[in-house]
Order: sequence, then structure tokens, then C-alpha cells
Amino acid sequence: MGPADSPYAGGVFFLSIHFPTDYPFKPPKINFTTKIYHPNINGTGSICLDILKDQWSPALTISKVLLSICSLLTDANPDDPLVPEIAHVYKLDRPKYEATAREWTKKYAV
Amino acid sequence: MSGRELFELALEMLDAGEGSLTISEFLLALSEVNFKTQEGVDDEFLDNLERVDVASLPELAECPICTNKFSENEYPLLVKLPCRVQNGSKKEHIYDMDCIAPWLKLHSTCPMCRFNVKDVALTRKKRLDEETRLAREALGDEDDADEEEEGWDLYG
Repeated sequence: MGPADSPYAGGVFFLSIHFPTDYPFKPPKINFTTKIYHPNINGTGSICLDILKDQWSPALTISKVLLSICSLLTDANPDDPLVPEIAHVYKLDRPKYEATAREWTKKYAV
Repeated sequence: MSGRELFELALEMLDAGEGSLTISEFLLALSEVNFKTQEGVDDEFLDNLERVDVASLPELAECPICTNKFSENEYPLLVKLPCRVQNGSKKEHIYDMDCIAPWLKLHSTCPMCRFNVKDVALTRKKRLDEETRLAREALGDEDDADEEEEGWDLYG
């Protein structure tokens, strides 16, 4: 569910979670299967989030990771973007970013 | 992804020009490259970890990695990491040895607080080396004195 205080509110976003054989010593592979307009999530649904990469810890649970993804939706990280064009809009024209994100949510996630 | 694959992706990206999906693919691949910034600990370090008696812990205490209760483990072998107490938190970071060992062999950080346990090992080793050096110096002086005495015996 898109967080209420974000342009993704009202949308339902599906994710695929793949557990490697050496989980929890390696992070799970998590992808968005629903299209989303976000500076840290690309067209194939890959998520740029430190705890899914080098900051992974085996004490992290899936619910904690999902919580982190939710907070990434509320607070994007435009300084470490996966899609530079969206990060550019996010930084220079926030209302335009929010409008596009809302539009995509309506189109793909409702 | 290997260095070569990464290089090929970089070339592809140059061909594709700005604003293509390949750039984000490249950034993602780059973020996944294991730069080996941290290395794990050795068996000796694991052997020297402080052991914890399961009876000294609350009934419901569980391993943060496997989330099983310590008290339900038939043959518990629990260890405490030497994390520095931070922000006044008194919570100790205790794990099943079977759970923490494979992690620490790859990464020297505590899964709960990211404290680098190797720092402790390094500090301890430095202190030990320093003490050994001082002891050897002190001993060395005596040895010299002994040799001198022996020398006198020989020639005197």
C-alpha cells in the first residue's frame, strides 16, 4: 500500500521477493512488479536501497525491510538515484514529480 | 557481476547515450559489485568470543538471526559480541554460535548495531603486542646481564 502521506497513496504495489539459498547471510532480492514513478526504483522494478545491498544485516526481517521500502516511498533519496531523470525532476520541480507519481499510481496501481 | 561484464555494460551505456535505461542498469550493477571493504574474522576470533549461559537469559530471549528462542535449543552454544555500549543502551548482542559464525566469517560487523568487532580484536592485539614487547625488553636486559656473568665465568 502506498503510504498515506505520499503521492503513492491509494495505490497497491506488488513486489517479488526472492530468497537466495544463503539467506539470511545474503539479502533477499526484492523487485517492484507494479510500475512506479520514483527516483530510486527503475523501469524493471529494481530498488536502490542500501540495506538490500552492502548494508544488509542478517538481523533484518522481511517486515523491517518492507517498512524501509515504505519509508523510501515517503522520503525518496534523490542524491543516490537509480533513475537520474526522475531525481532531477524531484529536486527541481517537486510539484511536477508528485503529479507524475500520482498519475502513475492511478494508472498502474489502483 | 565481474569486472569484465561491468566494463561491457559501460561501453553499451556510452553507445546508448544519455537517458537510456542502461544507465540505471549500470548504476545498479555497480552498487552490487562486492568491493570487499570489510573482511571477516578468523576461527581464533570466533573461539575467543565470550560464551553466555542460557540459564542467565530471560526465558523468551531469542537469537536475532534465526529468531528461535535460546531456551528451546537442545544444545545451546551462545556467544556475546564485544559491541561497545552505545547511547546508554544496555542491550547485549547475543547470538547462537551457529548463526553468527557464518556471518562474521564474511563481515566483521554486529548484525544488530553494525559495530565492527574487528576493532576490538585489533586493539586487543596491539595491546598484547605492546605488552609482549615491553616484557621482552625487560627480559632482554636480564638476558644481557646473564650473558655478561656467564662471560666472566668463562674467562674469569
